[in-house]
Amino acid sequence: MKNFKKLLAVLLAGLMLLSLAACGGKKDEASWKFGMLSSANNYSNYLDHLSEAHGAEKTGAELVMFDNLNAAVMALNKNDVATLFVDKASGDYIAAHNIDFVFVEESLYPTTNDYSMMTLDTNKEVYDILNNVIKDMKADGTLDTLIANELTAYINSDPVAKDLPRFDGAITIKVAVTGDVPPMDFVAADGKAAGFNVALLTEIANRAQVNFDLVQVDSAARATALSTGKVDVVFWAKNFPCSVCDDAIWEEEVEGTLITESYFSSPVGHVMPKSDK
Amino acid sequence: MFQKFYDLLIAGGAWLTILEGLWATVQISFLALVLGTLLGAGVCAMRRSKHKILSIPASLYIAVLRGSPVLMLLMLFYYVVFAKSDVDALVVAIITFGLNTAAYIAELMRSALDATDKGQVEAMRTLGFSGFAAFRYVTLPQAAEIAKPVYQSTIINLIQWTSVVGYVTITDLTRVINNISARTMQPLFMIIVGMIIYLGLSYLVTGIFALSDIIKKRKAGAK
Repeated sequence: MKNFKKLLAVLLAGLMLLSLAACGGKKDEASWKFGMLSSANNYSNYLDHLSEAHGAEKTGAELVMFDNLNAAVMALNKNDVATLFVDKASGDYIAAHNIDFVFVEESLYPTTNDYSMMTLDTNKEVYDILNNVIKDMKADGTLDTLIANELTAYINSDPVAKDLPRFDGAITIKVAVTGDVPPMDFVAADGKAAGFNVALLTEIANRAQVNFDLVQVDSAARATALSTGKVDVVFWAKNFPCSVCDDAIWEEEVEGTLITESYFSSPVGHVMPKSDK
Repeated sequence: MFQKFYDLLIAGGAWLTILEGLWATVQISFLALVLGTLLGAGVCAMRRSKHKILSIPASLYIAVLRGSPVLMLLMLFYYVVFAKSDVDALVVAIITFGLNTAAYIAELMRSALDATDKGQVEAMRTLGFSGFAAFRYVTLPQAAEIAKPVYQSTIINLIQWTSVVGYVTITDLTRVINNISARTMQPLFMIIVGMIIYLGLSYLVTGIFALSDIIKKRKAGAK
């Protein structure tokens, strides 16, 4: 019996050592892991194109999806992923706020991340309001001015949140914000939703004379919130080669939804630790 | 280091936002505990009943509520059951966590009651005391003493489970911590800060229980 206990102790100790070794084990050189946010929706063959473009030594690229930027940045910190695949706006934001990282634009297989808004197809009224205003803003150049003025400000400084305008008797549209995607969508120090998306909503509200209610929800519950009608609108980013830029693909892919014209496009690239540059 | 502390936790009223998040966490935890304890007592009474018509639904309730992840339950309540109503998310969270905690509390009460000596109740009854008096003066004080440590850890568990309420549009402590780390891109630092605050809450609960023990001992000493 005593010997049995000893044997068990030795076995357990061995097991512990083994698991420790496995945790700190050498990274598999052949696989090139990179992280991506699950909120940036990807064209399904995208990964193949990308890893092809990066040549043989990087084929077998493995994509790791993260629910939010926090988890992604921590994975990058501990070298779980080699790079984090985000667009220039987010990449610049990360690099501006965390000196350990740099952003490098993807050169071999350049694409853009396009930002739109999404409603249910039963909510055509809201969709039309949003889509028409975005089209108008694109046409008369206000959108470009807004991007030039607001976005850089959000990337480089810590701006305060602005209150959305209120119109008595106007319809109220509930919009989900996650606070997860700076500089587009984050929560300011005072707890209010801020970022470029809110600046855009302010402009849309003024033009269309509608009220927006911002609903802060965890990014993982966005789809549920939209489909159950707890919110009318979610922000929607998509990432795919522009040769196949056709919103119809996405409306088919995400059944029962309508996607507005994109209001902002940002080239994608890699956020990586400074030493890897 | 001090600068980082200031930039992340104080600047721009961030500390107030953290306090607001903490308040949401405390509110949900406390009210869910009150609801859970009352409901748990009821379920426990049903579970211990000799009538199958009462005890079977109670066992079923405990099995279902204890066996399903509280996050799923929360999503189900907010996005399905209360989808069409305008009930505040905070209320839905309190109801969900209350229902979930009730299942645990019912079981901890049952085990505590079962652990008391039945002979003492019989002795009380032979002396002519009513069943209620026997329960009130003999069973309950002893059961409460047995249940105390488990009750304490149930409260601490409850506080930690509430960290998922961000899924139903509530900005609690966890959401505030996540928001700050996304905005400042310092997730590691903020996670440690968040952990310390949750740890503080747990110690507060432990402290309250320890204090109640001390007061009780003093009272016993005074007699």
